[in-house]
Amino acid sequence: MIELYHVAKTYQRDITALSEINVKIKKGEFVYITGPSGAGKTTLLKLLFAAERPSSGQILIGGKNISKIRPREIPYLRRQLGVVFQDFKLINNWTVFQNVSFVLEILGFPRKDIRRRVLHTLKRVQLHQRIESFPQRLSGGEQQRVAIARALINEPKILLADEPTGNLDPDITQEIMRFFVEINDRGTTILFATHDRALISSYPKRVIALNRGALITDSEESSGGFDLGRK
Amino acid sequence: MQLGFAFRLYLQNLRANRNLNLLSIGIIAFAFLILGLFLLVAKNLDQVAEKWGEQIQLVVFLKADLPDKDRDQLEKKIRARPEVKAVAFISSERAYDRLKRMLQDRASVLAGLGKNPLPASFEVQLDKKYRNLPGIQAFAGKVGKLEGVEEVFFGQKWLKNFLALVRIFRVLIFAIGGLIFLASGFIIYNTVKLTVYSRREEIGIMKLVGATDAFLRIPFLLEGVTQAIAASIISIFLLWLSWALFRNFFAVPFQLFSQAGIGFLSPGQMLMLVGSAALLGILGSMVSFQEFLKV
Ligand SMILES: Nc1ncnc2c1ncn2[C@@H]1O[C@H](COP(=O)(O)OP(=O)(O)OP(=O)(O)O)[C@@H](O)[C@H]1O
Ligand SMILES: [Mg+2]
Repeated sequence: MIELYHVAKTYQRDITALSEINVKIKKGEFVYITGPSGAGKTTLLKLLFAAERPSSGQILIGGKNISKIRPREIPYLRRQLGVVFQDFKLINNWTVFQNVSFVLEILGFPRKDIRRRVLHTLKRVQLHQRIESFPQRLSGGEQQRVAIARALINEPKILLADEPTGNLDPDITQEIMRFFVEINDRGTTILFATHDRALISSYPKRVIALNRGALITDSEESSGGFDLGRK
Repeated sequence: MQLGFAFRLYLQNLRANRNLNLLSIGIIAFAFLILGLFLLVAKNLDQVAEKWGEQIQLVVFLKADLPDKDRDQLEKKIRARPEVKAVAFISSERAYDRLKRMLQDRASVLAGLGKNPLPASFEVQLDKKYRNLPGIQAFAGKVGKLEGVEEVFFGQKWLKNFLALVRIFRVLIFAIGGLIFLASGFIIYNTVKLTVYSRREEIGIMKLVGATDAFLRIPFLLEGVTQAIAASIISIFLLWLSWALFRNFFAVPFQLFSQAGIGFLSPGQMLMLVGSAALLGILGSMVSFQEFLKV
């Protein structure tokens, strides 16, 4: 589903955010991307939803090479993905409801369906009481859950979540993790960037560890699944 | 499909930037009003020229002492021309009588002339098809060369001056119209640019979840078109208002207009104005948005 071959990314010529990344992620997998701050987790995800282009190497999603994607094709790539941004990226003068519903509006869903689906998803993240609130009146954790609801409203094939539980209290974190696992069971591939080791050990999945832009360990690889990067 | 959503975004923008939009509409409407005034004057000058063409009398003055036989020959030749509808012979005596009657009690001035100085003439009425300037000029040119003709008169000098005026006016309208369109396009471009700028965050986020540029462009195109169409309709209304108030005021001193009356723009012309304004709106906002996408 997602394949990276010798991927590198440098910002402004000399800031190396990623180098020589080789990863294969199968459809339906749940993968943590971990590593210290500045390791390149966000950069890796940005390459996948084409907010940045790799400086070298190839990236394939569903067999399509997105390192050479044409600008006009990017929207259609993004419609297959759900992204929880590290900084949420909510629209401040829109209500919670509007912040989630516009994803479906853009795709041309009928309004009745939109309302039903948005309410359902907001209930899943326990925000159905706040649908008319504006983001800046919400706590950090509530804003984060709006971002999660928006990423999942379109039932994406792939979920890219950048520290999606960073602002949540333990109880809500549990609830959100159960939600993610459930979605994953229904077939959605999940890439989950986090540096919360406790979370990883309570929901053990494949872990890809980055440090200073390099791939340090891939739990899948050590268990013998893949043999990459040693050509 | 997503048009409903685009339309709601457009309404949201209008509400958020209401004053800016109103200001821009006001300025463009004023500029269009000026253009409209010029168009109105040009149209009326054209109308006058046309009316004149229809009413113009052609007078073919005959050489003095032309024998009757040659005169009959000439009349036959003129009558035979396809442009001619009617020919009336005015003898030099009749011309003299007419003048006398016209001068009424001041007829005594004629006595000072002694011998009747007026030449005999044919008054020619042209067929409707030829009662326009090119038709008249062509006819006058041909008849003027016939044997026995002294001169063909139809107020050439006057007409030439008048038509030069009309032509200058046309050029002026093109220049002013071009300038006004350019300025209005620039105003639209700028206001839409401000709206786009105020929505840059939303646009960026919508792109991140898969909105196409073509979709994101719609609300701004609508905004530009709204400004242009609103401004052109307002300007036409103001133009109509000033026309309704002042047409009698102008029609009286300028006798030229009193027959045709001062006309207003035709529905087709108004439609043209609104239509070209709409195109202008699309162009202005398109450039704005495209420019934004590049940065
Ligand atoms: N737009 C950018 N321009 C220049 N350098 C950048 C840019 N984005 C990221 N970087 C640099 O690339 C490196 C990787 O950044 P990235 O955001 O991917 O780290 P991260 O693993 O997500 O960190 P964190 O856990 O703090 O979110 C960092 O050194 C960062 O300074
Ligand atoms: Mg990050």
